[in-house]
Amino acid sequence: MKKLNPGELQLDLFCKGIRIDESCTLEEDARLFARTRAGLGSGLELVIPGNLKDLWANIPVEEDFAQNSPYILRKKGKDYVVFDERNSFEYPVRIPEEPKWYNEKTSSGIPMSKIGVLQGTYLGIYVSNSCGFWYHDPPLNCKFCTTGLNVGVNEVADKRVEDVVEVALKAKEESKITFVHLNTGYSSGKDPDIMAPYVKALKEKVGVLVGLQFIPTKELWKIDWLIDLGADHFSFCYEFHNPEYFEKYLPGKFKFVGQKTFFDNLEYACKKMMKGKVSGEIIAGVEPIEDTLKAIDYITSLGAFPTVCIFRPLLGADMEDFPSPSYEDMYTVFKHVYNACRKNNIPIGVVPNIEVSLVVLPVDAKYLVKHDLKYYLYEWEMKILRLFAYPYFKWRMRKRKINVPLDPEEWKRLKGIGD
Amino acid sequence: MILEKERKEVMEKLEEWRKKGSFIEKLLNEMENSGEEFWIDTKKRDLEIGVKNIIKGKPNRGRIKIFFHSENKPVIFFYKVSTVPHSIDRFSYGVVLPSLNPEEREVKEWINFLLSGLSPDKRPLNLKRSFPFDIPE
Repeated sequence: MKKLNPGELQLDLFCKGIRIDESCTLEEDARLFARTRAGLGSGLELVIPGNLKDLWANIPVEEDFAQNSPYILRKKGKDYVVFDERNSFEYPVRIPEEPKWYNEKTSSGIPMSKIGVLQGTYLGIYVSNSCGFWYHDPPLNCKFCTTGLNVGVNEVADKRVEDVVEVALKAKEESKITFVHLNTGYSSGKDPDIMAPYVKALKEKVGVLVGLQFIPTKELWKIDWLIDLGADHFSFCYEFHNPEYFEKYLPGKFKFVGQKTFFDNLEYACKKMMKGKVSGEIIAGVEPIEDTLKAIDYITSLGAFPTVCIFRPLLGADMEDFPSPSYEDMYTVFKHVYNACRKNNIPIGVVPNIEVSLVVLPVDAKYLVKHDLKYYLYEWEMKILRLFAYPYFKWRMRKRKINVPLDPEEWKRLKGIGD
Repeated sequence: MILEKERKEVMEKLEEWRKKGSFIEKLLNEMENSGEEFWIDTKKRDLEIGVKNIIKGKPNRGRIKIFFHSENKPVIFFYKVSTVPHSIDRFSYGVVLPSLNPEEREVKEWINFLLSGLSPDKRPLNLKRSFPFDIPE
């Protein structure tokens, strides 16, 4: 067995998890463990240094499968290594320290880490009061998700715009974030409306890139409204490409939204925004791998980038007892992610300082592909694009007055859009 | 049985909580009669109960936390504790909002759910997995 490269190690850690050795002093060295939002960030944040790029990952530690992992995190002197007990290989890793602001409170007295947490190098905030699917009788929540179990437990249920702004300002000042990612659960079709005041306030008072993830809307014009308010990115989590899996594991999304609405929103947003600014989010490791590959082809064919989450059987989720995916399958998936982005010329790794620990980004998957002429041409193109795009992102990150009404109907009237 | 119930801190905790409703008395009786070893976390402000049985070869991580959401509105919160030293993360499995005088069947359900390691097939009938309020630390 040969030593894994950083990308291969990142994948294997996502699939197998890690155990924490007694030599570790994570209470002093690591970020707070906080399972928030849908739950994917429940693990240990670490950085795998690499020659092509450093890789951020949130590695499962709490779930049952992680208790049997061959990987063990050890502290050696001041440094950390991942030890593979199958072959005694050691991999140096870095543990990102906890931002000081995690222990501060907002002016309304709420601990800042209960409003939002860093998930890599960006700030992730779940803005709605849980997800409506969890409140149905019987519940219609997505079977892999733990949002309804986290809100009110590891994060506060009600997040005021003022608190979100305060936390984002702190995170920008001290952690140098460039991007805030907001998401909501199902809110009976009012999801874009819930997002709007946060987007406007973040643009006006913080000056940061803002990404939105919400249950798609049947009123597609609301995407234009959110773009007007300053949204920089949209991601649509349709999770499974295979319609049978979509119906079986996403009962609420199937009953109240439908897979087609996800596709409609994805396609509409792609038409309205530049290539690479929209993402289609799916889960790998549950539906047949052929369907996951089809999803990647579909998403990239639209000009969007695929955000592929490696399935994690979270504690308390309905799918808690499902197996974690195999490394071999995930290798195939992420190699395909990179190649599909290259084939469709999707900009990857262009935005300054966005590292995501919850998923393997397309740009992270460069460790998994053959480094041939096509690879080098694409990498060079991205390097040039990064250089030219930098002033654009700086411009997008300025604080600015947003003269757009928060009432969507008023915006619609102003724009002369009929019913 | 309840472990260390003669210890001063445990005794005081139980005495304080017995006054808060007959559902506590019923719960404690059920624990005493179950044949398993329950323990009370005296360091916590609310009433927190763990059990010393083994689930799938590992110690049961399940816990019950009882607190009052508002006056006369008790909440029983089921959760798992973190395996990471010093982590305060809690893994919620839901809440039950009991009446102050619940039926024996309900109390048995809560205890059996805890004993099972919060197994989905032992969920109490009236378990709410999602709730619009915060769980205190």
